[in-house]
Amino acid sequence: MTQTRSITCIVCPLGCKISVKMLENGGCLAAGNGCKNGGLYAETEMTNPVRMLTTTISVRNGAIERLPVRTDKAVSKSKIPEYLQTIKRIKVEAPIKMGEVIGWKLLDTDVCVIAAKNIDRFS
Amino acid sequence: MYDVAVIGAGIIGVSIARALAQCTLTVIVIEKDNDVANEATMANSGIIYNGYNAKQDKLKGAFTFRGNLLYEELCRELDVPFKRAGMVVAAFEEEGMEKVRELFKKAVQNGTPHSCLLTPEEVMAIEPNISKNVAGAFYSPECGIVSPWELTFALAENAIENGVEFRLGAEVTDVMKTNDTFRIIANQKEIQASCVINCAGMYADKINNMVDEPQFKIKPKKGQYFVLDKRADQFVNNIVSRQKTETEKGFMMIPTVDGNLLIGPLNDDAEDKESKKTSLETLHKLKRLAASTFDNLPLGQVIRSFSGLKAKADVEDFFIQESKQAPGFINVAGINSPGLTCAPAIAEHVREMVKTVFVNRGVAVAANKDFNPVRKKGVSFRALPLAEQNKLIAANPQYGSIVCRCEMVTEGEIVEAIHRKPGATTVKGVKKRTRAGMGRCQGGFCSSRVVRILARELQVSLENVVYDEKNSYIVAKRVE
Amino acid sequence: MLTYDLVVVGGGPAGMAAAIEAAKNGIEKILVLEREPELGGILQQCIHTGFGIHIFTEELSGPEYAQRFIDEIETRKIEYKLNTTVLSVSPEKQVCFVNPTDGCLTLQARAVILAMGCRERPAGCIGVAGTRPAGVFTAGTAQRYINREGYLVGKKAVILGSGDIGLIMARRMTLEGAKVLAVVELQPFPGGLNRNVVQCLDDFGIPLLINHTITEIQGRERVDGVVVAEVKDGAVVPGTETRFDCDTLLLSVGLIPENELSVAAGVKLDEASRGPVLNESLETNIAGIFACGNVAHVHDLVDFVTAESRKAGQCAAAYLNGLRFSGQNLVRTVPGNGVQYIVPQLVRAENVGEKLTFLLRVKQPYTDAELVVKADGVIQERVKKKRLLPGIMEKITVDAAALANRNVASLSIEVRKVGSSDTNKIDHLHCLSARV
Repeated sequence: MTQTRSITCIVCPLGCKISVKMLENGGCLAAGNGCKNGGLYAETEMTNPVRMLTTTISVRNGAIERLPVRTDKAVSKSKIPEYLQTIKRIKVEAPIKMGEVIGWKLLDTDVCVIAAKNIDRFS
Repeated sequence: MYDVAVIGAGIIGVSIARALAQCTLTVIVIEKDNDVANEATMANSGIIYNGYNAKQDKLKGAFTFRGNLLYEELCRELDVPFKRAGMVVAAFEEEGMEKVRELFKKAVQNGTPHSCLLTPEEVMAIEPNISKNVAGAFYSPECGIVSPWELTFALAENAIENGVEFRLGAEVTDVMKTNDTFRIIANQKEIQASCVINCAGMYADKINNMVDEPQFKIKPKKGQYFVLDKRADQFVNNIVSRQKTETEKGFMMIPTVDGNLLIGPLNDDAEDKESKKTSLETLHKLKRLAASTFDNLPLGQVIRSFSGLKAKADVEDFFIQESKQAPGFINVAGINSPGLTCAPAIAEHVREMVKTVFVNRGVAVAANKDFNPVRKKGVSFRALPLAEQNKLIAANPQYGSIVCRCEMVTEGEIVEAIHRKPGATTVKGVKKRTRAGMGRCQGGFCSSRVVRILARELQVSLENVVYDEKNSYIVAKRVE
Repeated sequence: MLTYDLVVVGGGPAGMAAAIEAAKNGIEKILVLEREPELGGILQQCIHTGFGIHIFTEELSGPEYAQRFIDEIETRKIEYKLNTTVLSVSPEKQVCFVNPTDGCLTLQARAVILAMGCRERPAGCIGVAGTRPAGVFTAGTAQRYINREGYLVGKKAVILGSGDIGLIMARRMTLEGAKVLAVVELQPFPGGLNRNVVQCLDDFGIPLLINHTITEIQGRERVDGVVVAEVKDGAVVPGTETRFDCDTLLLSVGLIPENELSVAAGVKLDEASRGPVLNESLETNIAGIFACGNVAHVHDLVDFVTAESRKAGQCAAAYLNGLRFSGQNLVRTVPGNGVQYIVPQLVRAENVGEKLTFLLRVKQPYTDAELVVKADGVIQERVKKKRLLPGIMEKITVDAAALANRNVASLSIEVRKVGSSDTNKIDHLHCLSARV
């Protein structure tokens, strides 16, 4: 049994409409993608959709209240609430450098959390 | 125990309180909202009439003339901007012209100087943007415009300077009379006074009915307005009113002292005493009416629409009477248009009524020798010359930090507005006192900054800062 | 009076890129004036990713993108002032600003770059009826509360407007624990990028109600609901009203370039773009005053802002180094059928190299169309476009040769559906010019 789905690619702002056909062998056939990345996106989207996760966490003794953070790679969409919960529990204190890894191996995966901003210590 | 308790801190209550402060009487003003000038006072046209339309045999008429005379001096004493403005009442069809001619006749009878009728050409000469369909107009100079809430703050500040006490956020739930003392319950606390003035606006009937048989009923009226950005301020040169007819409502184009333009009100019966909502239907009607009255209406400059509730009593005139059943309880109710104009005159009149109450009880009321009528308004950074601005910033760097960039309001002014008496305790209170949030972006840029400043100065958490009344929280909770 | 070669008003991505480019081109006395306590502009509250795909071939978050430029500003030791609000720019390029440490100061600049960005359209502008309770926010303000102040503005929200900011906030609010009930869109198509509809709405099951609007806000002290209704042919369809129980209304109903300073300086604005009328050097009608970024026209991608602002910086540097054009051969760009606006609005033909780049927006969505460039009515170029959307700014590069040789008065760009009868005409023209 094959099924065809129509999805919108989110890799770049063009947002190509891709029609994906699931094949019996577990693979898929994508049509309508404007580039190779779109094809790859279509495949993951069918099997294990992933998303980049960004949020903010509180900083102790920082010149500003909140530290924007991001995962270093896209994470499994279905697990986003759990990832968020874990990230929110991370405690950081200023000074913080952009790019600093502040959380490792979330939920027993190789996903890390990176500080997305420099924050000086509160003076 | 106070000599006089005034219920309601709109322009009427506060005007009366300040007038009473000129005597040696202890006065307290009790207000249910979080701030003074928060109801009808906040949402009206800001026009001071010159009595062209006055009914001489009514209080409304007599007080209009007296009020108009008192305004300039009052605003000078209180350091409140007041501008003279002409009134143009324009008609667009014969029915309207008939009414305009009647208006002129009344003006002549009332002795209003320099009033006249204008031909269509003359109207277009003084108001170039009016529609070519204009049939003629009535013109009367010597009306005026004022910011009603700015005036009320000034009156309140001066009243406090002269010893009047204010209790805000205190809704009166009961008034009882025992012998010559009134016991007022507000916020589960009791305030005692020898004399009570009922200036409770929309709820004046409710308050009256606590001590007396019903004397009047308040019928709420709603007026809806558009506010235009200051860029539109050259659109009219006078207050321009469209004469209402049997088929078409009237409305006005009103310049404000701050340079905005108000279009409205389009008046309707209000659904109830609380319903301040605007309706799409009325707003569209107002737009259509305005577009047929003026050419090139700058509707792209609209930054806000609002509605104001006005307390009209079901009697022909203002209801200003001492209760027969409860002597010492004075109703000052149903003060709708031209209430703003009449306020100083009402205050004088009620002060005399209060004096009579005390004299009848054998208590002499003397003049307050220490009464200082002068009040200086707070700093307005944008209005200062450069040298003054720099002196201010050198003394207090908070004046060098612009918070509201549309109206150029500094942090220093906002902090001052919070700590003045009566000070701002809400975002709306800061807005009314400093204009932060009244500009083009309507608080989009400054409101989060104002909230921070309020939280810091009042030493409360951000979740506890409110826009206006106690449940109007701004932020729901901290993010994790 | 203190003099600077170049004063840049605004230290966001536009101002920074322009200042850096001017410095690269040898300009020394540069001053960037920024009203926030840090550089970076609106990017500092845009914590989501999607920035830098073109400029850095990386997907960065807003603060990360900003930091690249902040680092370069620091490395090049370009002077900047924070917590500084510019009060006025005069036609003679005198810039007056205020901050808590310097007080009120006026500087003389030899050139000025306007990079003030834009503001959000408030509720009052769109005339939503109903009460005026607490709980109505423009999407950017709500974003500031969440990402900078650390506060959720409400627990149950409806969002009016499906522009990118509205879509991004739908996701952001949901991730922080709020419930977003719906995004309401007046037009028959979403205002923002499709990728944002997917990852901000579809991912969370948030319905997008196109052809709908909000007819009433309800609630006395705080919002307690909104009434949503269908719209057809510009009017509300009676009987389609639905009430949503909510405590928050976010508005994402348009951005307006912040040109108050520009207008006061005597800069002429283009009603269509709402930004200054600009020539090919991104210069306004006042010589030596340039504009770039959202203040010139509202952008979707910061990458385009950077490219545009680098050009402005380059041109400002050229101006400061004495390069002037008489503006004899002035070409006007004319938005034709289906085009909302074109930047630049004027082209001085003698100042154009081989190629000329235009940025434009269309008025409505098109599929299988082409952008047709005409010089005085004669077709110069046709670019096929599979899809055109108002929410996506288009870049079109045109051969400038035609302008250089002839006295072209106007250059128009219009949208045409593919399969136009003009096909033969253009080939004929090409043949002609080849012979000449």
